[in-house]
Amino acid sequence: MKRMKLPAAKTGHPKDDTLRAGNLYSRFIIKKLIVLLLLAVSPVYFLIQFRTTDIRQLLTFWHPQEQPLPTQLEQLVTDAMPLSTEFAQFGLDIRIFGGQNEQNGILVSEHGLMRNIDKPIPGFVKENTRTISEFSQDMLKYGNKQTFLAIIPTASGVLQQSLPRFAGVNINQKRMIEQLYNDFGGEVQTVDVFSQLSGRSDQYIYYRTENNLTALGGYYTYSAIVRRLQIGSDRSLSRFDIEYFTNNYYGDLYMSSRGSSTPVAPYRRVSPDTLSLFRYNGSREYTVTLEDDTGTRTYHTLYPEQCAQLGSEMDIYLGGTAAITTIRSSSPKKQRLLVFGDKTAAAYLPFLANHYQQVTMVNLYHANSSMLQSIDPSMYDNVLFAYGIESFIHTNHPAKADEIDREK
Amino acid sequence: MGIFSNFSSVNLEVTSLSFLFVLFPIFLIAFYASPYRARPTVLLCLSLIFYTLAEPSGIFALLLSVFIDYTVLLAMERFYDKRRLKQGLILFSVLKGIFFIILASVSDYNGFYFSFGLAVVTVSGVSCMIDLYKGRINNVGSLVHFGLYCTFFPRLYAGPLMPYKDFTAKLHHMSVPKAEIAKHAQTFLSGIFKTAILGSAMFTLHRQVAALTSVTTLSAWMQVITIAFALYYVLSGLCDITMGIGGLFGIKIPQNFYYPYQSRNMQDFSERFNRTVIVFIREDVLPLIQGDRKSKAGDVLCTLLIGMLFGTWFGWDVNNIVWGVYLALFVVLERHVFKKAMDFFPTLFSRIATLIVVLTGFSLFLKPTVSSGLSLIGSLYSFSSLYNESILNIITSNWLLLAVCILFSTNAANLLIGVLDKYAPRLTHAVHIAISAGLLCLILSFSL
Repeated sequence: MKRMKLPAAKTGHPKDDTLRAGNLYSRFIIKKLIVLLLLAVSPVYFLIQFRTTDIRQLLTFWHPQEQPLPTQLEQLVTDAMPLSTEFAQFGLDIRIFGGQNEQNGILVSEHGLMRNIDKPIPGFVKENTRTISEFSQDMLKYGNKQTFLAIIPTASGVLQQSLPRFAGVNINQKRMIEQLYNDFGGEVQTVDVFSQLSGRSDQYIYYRTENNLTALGGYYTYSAIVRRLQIGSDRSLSRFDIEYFTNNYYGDLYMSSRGSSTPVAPYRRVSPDTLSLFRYNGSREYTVTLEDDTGTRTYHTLYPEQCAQLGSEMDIYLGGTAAITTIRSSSPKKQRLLVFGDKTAAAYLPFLANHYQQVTMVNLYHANSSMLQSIDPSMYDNVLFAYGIESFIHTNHPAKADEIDREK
Repeated sequence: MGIFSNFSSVNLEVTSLSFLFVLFPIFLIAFYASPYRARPTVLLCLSLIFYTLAEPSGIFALLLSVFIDYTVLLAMERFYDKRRLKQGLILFSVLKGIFFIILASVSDYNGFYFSFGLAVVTVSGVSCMIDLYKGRINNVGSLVHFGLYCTFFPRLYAGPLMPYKDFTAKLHHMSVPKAEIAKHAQTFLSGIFKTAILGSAMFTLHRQVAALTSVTTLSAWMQVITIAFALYYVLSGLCDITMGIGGLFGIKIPQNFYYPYQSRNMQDFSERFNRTVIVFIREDVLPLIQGDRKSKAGDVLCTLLIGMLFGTWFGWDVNNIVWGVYLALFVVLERHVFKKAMDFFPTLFSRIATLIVVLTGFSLFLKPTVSSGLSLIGSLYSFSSLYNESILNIITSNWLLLAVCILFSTNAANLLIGVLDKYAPRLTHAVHIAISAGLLCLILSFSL
């Protein structure tokens, strides 16, 4: 025990020493207890947090198949840390101030946030190219119908003037798309979306906080497709009434992430996006049917607002993502279009629907085998594969079109 | 396989938030709540708990190594007058350590991986034996003291190495003066900041630079600069953590790094960069092999041997040994060839020249083979392609990180605080509190 110097006794009575020592001892014990209690604050706080947040995680600590205990503990402490968003925000601000304009593959530019597209995965590219080529050949063989391909660039490829200085963009999208088109050797009719969009790079054609085309970007993509498909002239912008659904939308890029997905903190410098609805001012009625694993939903508008209120605001476009989206319109034309695409379709399909009696959009990522079996390509006049460059070079979703029976 | 390759392979890091906010406070509570005489035992138990959490598969090897060394020490005590036998026992312990480390390096394919801290444990055991052999200590004392000396958890990452006598000096009364608590806490936090933020970011930056397909003069220099900073911040940060944690448990740990990149000459560099390892090799290992350093040839041989062994501390690869010899060679040249010339040049010139020699040497350290290291040295001094857009992008994207690393690799901040301490001592106290709070904020900001 720590030796304490005792002051001289005042009265000389032996009891004084004992009392004095007792007081000092109790003060020492109290001080020690206070220190120990202070030290206990942090572990007790986190232990309480563990109990209240997810007791099951604590119980799985000793499960041999789970991650090691320290790894789980680290995860729990990170999740339960007070002011974690503020701290992470501060860290993010320092990094960006320090010149790190790329965070987890997201380029922070004057325009907003853009995903820096990684180099292609050769196996997937080859698989997708082969499938689309074969699909195109079969369509010609069995129905003498054309297949078209549109590869849609992302913001980091088109808005080059907005990229951070010396930005290390992983791929040159213009060159990459040209190379991909060349690989088809003329077997598929290709659509040059890149030139169409890069000519309008000063306009609001890409969202600032989402890796997708805006409605205006969708309009220009639609223009390029319509011209290539030769199904009449594209409608001018004046034929649409523009309505702003919200000007306070934050997309999936807005939250910086830890690792691959855990959102941590927003990029403060970036302004929110505007979601605009382009309503054709001619006489058209639409029926949109969405089919996925959960069932079928039908809306009598291209922009069902209830979907945006119930789910993401982005679901205002065609009711959100589904395995198969069928748009029927009161267009006098009797043609039908089969589209294989990804989330970029929400931008241009509302425009394309004006030119067809029926447009069926198949999202091959969400569609299951029975859904694919139900598709009859012979019912359609044209087939369009329209994929964002990221989907085309990093996934093999387009190759799932192999499962569709083309001999019907 | 070496001390440097094992930092990120363990489950629990001293730099992690879970350690900082949960385990470390619990360790401190357990320590301070126990009576003085029980504190070494408590701290030993805590160290073993830490090791079990960090590297469960290695605890058996760790305990076995400590028990073998302790038995050897007891045997040396028993046969104190048999010089040859004692030498043989030390050699046995060294071979045992090498066997364990080699076993670890070849056995991790089967999930049996226990090399974390083994180099420190082995060297600590051998150091204690040499102390006993040379009569610096009379006996090894209790198993608890020896076990704690070998396994004190923050030391397991990168040392620093220290004499057994110094470590155990205060073990019988482990307490911390109140005035020093804040200082130790700040050292601990600055260690985390250096290791987890600056060192880790520098490693990432180094990987980015090394991944560039075309090598220019600037990118070659960036490769060596980033590895030099990464190495310094990770190792000195880990040593600061050890000093801070040791201080908070009442153990004084020596400083291992002292701004090595502002050394005046290579001899000075060896006194500033991982100095405890060099001191251990020079004071303890060399006299066992060859005691005569009085002649010029003997001195050259000893210095080159120190360099070789120093390189081995960072790994068993040939290029590490060549790196160590390279550093030693410049010490020899400086001592025996350019001594007068060195005195002639101004200090700033000497510092810059030393820095260039040190950075050039890192080419050998960072590459997997000697030939690729030599090739990188060629790129450093080839001016055919000076720079390209990729390396400019990397530099501009990390200007703040580079500036901070440059600043804190000099003693400028320390000088400033020294001046403040001289003229406004009360303000210094507030500045230290602000620095600790700021460090904690930064650690949280960059860890979350």
